[in-house]
Formats: sequence, structure tokens, C-alpha cells
Amino acid sequence: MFKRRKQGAVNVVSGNVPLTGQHTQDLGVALAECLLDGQPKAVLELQNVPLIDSAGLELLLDMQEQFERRAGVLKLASPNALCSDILVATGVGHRFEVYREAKAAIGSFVQ
Amino acid sequence: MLGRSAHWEVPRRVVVYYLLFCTIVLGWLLASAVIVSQASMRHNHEAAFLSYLGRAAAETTISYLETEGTDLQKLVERFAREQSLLYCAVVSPEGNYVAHTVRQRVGKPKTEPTGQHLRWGTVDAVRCRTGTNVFREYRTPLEAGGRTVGTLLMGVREVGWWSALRLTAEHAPLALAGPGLFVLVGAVVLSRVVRPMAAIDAQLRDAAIAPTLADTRLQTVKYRTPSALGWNRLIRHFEEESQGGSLDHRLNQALQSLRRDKVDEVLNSLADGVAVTDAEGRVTFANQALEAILASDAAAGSLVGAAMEDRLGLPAQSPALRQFLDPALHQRLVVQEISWEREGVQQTLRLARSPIRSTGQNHPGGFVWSVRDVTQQRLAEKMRNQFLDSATHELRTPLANIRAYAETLSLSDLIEVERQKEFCNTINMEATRLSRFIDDLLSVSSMEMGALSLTRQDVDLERLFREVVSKVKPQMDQKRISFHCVLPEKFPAMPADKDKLTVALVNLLGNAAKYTPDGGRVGLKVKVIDRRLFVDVEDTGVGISEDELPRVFDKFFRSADPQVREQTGSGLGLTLAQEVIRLHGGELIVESQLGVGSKFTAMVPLD
Repeated sequence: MFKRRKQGAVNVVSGNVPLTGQHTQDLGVALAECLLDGQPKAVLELQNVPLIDSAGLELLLDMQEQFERRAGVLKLASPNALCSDILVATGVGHRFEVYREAKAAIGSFVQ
Repeated sequence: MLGRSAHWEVPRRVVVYYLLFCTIVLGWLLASAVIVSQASMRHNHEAAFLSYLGRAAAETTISYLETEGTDLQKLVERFAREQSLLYCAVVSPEGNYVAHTVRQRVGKPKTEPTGQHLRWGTVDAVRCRTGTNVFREYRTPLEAGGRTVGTLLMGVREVGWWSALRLTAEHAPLALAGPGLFVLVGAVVLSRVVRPMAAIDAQLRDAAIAPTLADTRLQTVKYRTPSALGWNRLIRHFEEESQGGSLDHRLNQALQSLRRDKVDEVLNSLADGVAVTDAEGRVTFANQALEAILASDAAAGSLVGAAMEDRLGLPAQSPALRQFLDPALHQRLVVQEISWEREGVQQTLRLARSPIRSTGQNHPGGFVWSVRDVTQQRLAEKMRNQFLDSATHELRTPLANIRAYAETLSLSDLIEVERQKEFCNTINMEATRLSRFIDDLLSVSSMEMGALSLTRQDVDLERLFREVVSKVKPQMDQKRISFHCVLPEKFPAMPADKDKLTVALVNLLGNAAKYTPDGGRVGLKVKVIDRRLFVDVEDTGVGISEDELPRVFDKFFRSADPQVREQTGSGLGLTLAQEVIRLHGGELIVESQLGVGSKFTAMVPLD
């Protein structure tokens, strides 16, 4: 499941299940809560997410679009090797800032 | 494509068509009149001739009886003259001509003409055609005393088309003059009606053949018909458009609109909020970022029309509001940071307002606002300051002690050996404290850079926990803390980083010992459930307030509680412990009640 926590003004959403069709709703709810924060800033921590499928990728793109519509940013952090390859191979990774560590992603919001 | 008659003007075409159709109608009526006249004449002639034939037959019968037929020749010649007959004859019952207007035929047998047979009672006729002539031979029996004494024959021309035409022509001038006059009057009226259309049509024709519309000069027409009035309005509209909107003007308008759209797109792509206010302070434009920051629903345009100061929710006497309202500052940049509460969460916004400078003389004035959410930056700065404070304190205190004791030892020769050992122990303790702080600092630094990694190997958990307990036990004994340790009878093997896990657990137990008053209780409970290791560290210490609870794992966080402040600490222990547990795939959670105690639970998967 996916949980949301606050780190300063940044929302950090982390999960420990595959980002596939059956879990996209969980993530969608968690990220939608971030959208209520005015100009949303969020990091999706993928450290314990073993896999992303097409439904997950679609959700990521959809949520990124919603974040951008509110002049916010959704960043990805610590994807495993498989998820990194999926993000690169599908081109979805190009739409996101991807960090090796969640802390680095959170720190990047300090401009 | 234009038709053959398209080069004619509209009224001319309309009148020509009108006359053409009227002529066709009149011609049709004339032809009908001729046909009717011919039919009528034929009918009248037939009736009159049959009547005459009856009288002639009676007269012939009487003459035949009185004169025994001697006057029949004179009689038939008279009949022929009176009725302009082709011929007239009397035929005996035996079939020979008794009398005939052609005398040579008298005494000869009758010849039977061929043609269409007609009959009216006892009278019959044969309709014959010889060349172009059509005639009828009427025949009526001559009867006396109940017996037939002969047959009277009369050849007569039929009424032809020419006769009918001549008869119609006699009355045609009068019959045609009236309708013809009306047709002409109609043509004149029609011509007048369509004349405005002709004027419009002429201009449209010019426009159709001109190379460009600019080469055509369209003008109003001097008529009062609805179509003319409509045309005149259209021309005046175009004139106004062209006067106020030449091609250059319209091009400029289009370019400005395009530029404005482009500028809107650019501004809406910015991460910073941007707004434009008019001279009265009302928002005339707000980009998406500002809508997201300030508006509750973030619907496009929801800020437009609102007063910027109102939407910022600035308190009446706040320095920021005073600055923004100060007329002396209307001509320069004003920058302020304000606290902004959104659904109970405090945010920090950096506002920059600058006047709109325009070269136009009639510019109404106004401001452009830039709004940036700097909450995260300010939190980072606060943490950095906390770090500097803590680091300075943590470095300076042991260093000062070390320096003081070292100086004392070096300058004084008369210190007893026992005191010297005590001083050396203190120096050693402070150096250890310094070393531990620097180790923590380096670990946290590695953690921040993402360089903190685990070296996993199978760990004997029972041994690990005994080692951890042995490290914190002296501290507990020193404060006479009652320490309860509950460990499972048998520990499974677990791949983990023994040193880092030890550091994390020592930090948790060390904190429990540090913040629990003398005589308090600390408990360590370890259990394995579903291949997960649960470690509970519970104390009856000072506890953590509800508002500080979410921040206990933050780097360098120290509680504002004086009971906590009086203890030495770097604010790095819990941060490090949480990161170590996280790297093991686990989770560290805390429950606490101020003045009652705290409970930290570390959950680490065994696999």
C-alpha cells in the first residue's frame, strides 16, 4: 500500500507494493491528497516498489499532468533497477526528475 | 461560372424575362382563341346549313311534284348560288343525276365520294378531302306521299383555320390591346422596383471581376427599399471598419492578441505565482501557480477581480500590509515574506511587488506581483541554523572541557595522582563524546548524500541484543532505572548490518535512559511475528508533546522542553536510527505522551 507523509512542505509518498493496476487506486488517492496543498510538491519514493506496469505508468503521467496544472511538481526517488529500466525504456522517466534518494529529491525543492 | 445572359444588368434581365413570358402567355391565349373560334364557327355553320338543307329539300320535293322535275335544274343552281356551294344535285331513286350544277353530269349515275360518314336523323354527310380542301357532301332524301322520289345533294366547304384566324384577327386588336398595355405597364413598374438592385448588382459585378477587393470602391445607393437600406448599412459598416481598422491596424490587433496569448502561456508555465493588479489593486491576471497557491479551488480566473491584499489575508497592522499600502513605495519594488495558513498548515510566501512601467502616456498604472512558496527553503534554513547551534554546542563543550583539564594537567605540578587520573578520565570521556558526535555526523552526512549503505551478513540476534543491553545497562544503573528486557527464547537468523543495527538500537535505548528520570522504568521487548522482527523500547520518561511528535526524526531536532534541553544531545540519534531501520526495509514509529513516557517500535523484516 502507499502512505503519505510530510517532510517540511514536501509530501513524500512511499509504497511497498507493485505499481500495477490493482494498486494504482491507492497511489492515486495518496497523490490526490497532495494536490490539496496549494502548489503541490511531492516525492514518490519507489524504493520498495518492485514493479511498474502500464497502468502505473499511465497514473504517473496523469498525476504529473495534474501537478503541473497546479504549477506543482511530482518527483520520483530511489527506483530499483527494474523500475529504472521501465521508466527509461518507456520514456516516462523523461517526464520526471528521478533521484537516487528520497532525501535528495526533497532537498531539490530548496531552490 | 456566369451564364450567357449574366452580362446583362439585373433589371434588363428581369424585364426581358417578364416580357418573354408575357408574350408566351398572350400567344397561347391567341392560339386558344383561334381554336375556340374555329370550333364555334364550324358548329354554327353546320347548324345553319342543316336548317337550310331541310328547307331546300321541302322546296325541291314540292317543285318535283308540281313540275314533274322540270325546274329541278334551276332550283339546284339557285341553291348553289345562295349558299356558295361547291355543287348541288338531285339524284333519282335509280341513282342517276336528275339535276346538277355541273350540267354534263345530268343523266349520269351518281359517283360515291370516300371519306368520313356523319349522320343527323335522316340527313347524312360524307367528309372528304381533296388536296388541301376539305368539304362535306350533305344528303337528304326527298319524300312525297310516303315514298322516296330522290335525294338532294349539296357539296359545301368546311370552315378552315384561315377562316377562324381571319375571324379572330378582326377582333384581335381590341382583345390584345388591353392585356398588352397592362404587360407594358407591368414592365415599367418592375423595372423601377428592381432598379436599386441594379445599382447593387453593378457594384457586386465590379467586385467579382476586380483583381482584389481593395480595387473596388463600394458605394451606398440612393433608394429607400429595404434591400437598398440594408446594402447602405453594410457599406457604412465596412467603411467604419476600414477607417478604424485598416489592414495594418487589424494586423497589429491580431499580433497583439497572439503575443498576449503567448505571454499567458509563458506565465502559466512558471512555477512562481504571477499576478497583475490595476491601479485600484484588483487582480486583472493571475497565472496558474498563483491560483494554486492562493485560491482554494484553483479554478482558472478565480482570483481575477479580487483585491490582492485581501486574498493574501494580511492582518490590518502587519508590516507587510503597511508597506504595500504606503504610497511612497508605489514606485519601487517591495519584497515581503508572509506567513500563509492553508488548511491549518503554515506556509511561508515571498511576495515581490513592482510597479508596471510603461512608455505609454495614458497607461493606467498597476503592479505586477511575484509570489513564491518558500516554506521548504525556510524550513531548510531553520534546520541548518539548528545544526550550527547543535554542532557548535556539541563540539565546543567537550573541547572546552578537554582543553581546561589538559591545561590544568600541564600547568600544575602539584596535582595528586588520583586527581590526575580523574582529569584524564574526564578528557577521555569528552574525547569519546566528541568522537561519537563526529561519527553520527558523518553517518548522517553519508545518509544525506545517499552513501549510507548496509553490509548485510547473517546476524546472531541474541548476541546482538545482549551487546546492545550491555552498552546501555551502566547508564541505566547509574540512574537507578528499572530495566526490563523480554527476548524470545529462540531468535531466527537475519541478514542485517550488525554494526548499524546496533547503533540504531543503542540510540533508542540510550535516549530512553537519558530522558527517563532517576528511578524510572525502561522496557525492551523483542518478538518475531510473521517473519518480522518487532522491537519495542518503552520508557516512563519526559515524553514528547503532540506538536513535536512529527518532528522527532528530523535532523538536529531538539525538543523545546527544558528537561530535554538540560541533557546533552546532537539531535542526530533518532534520525540515524530511523534511516538504518528504513535501509533494512523496516519502519520506526513512535507513540508518546508528554510527562508519561514514550514508546518506539522498530519493525524490520527478517528476509
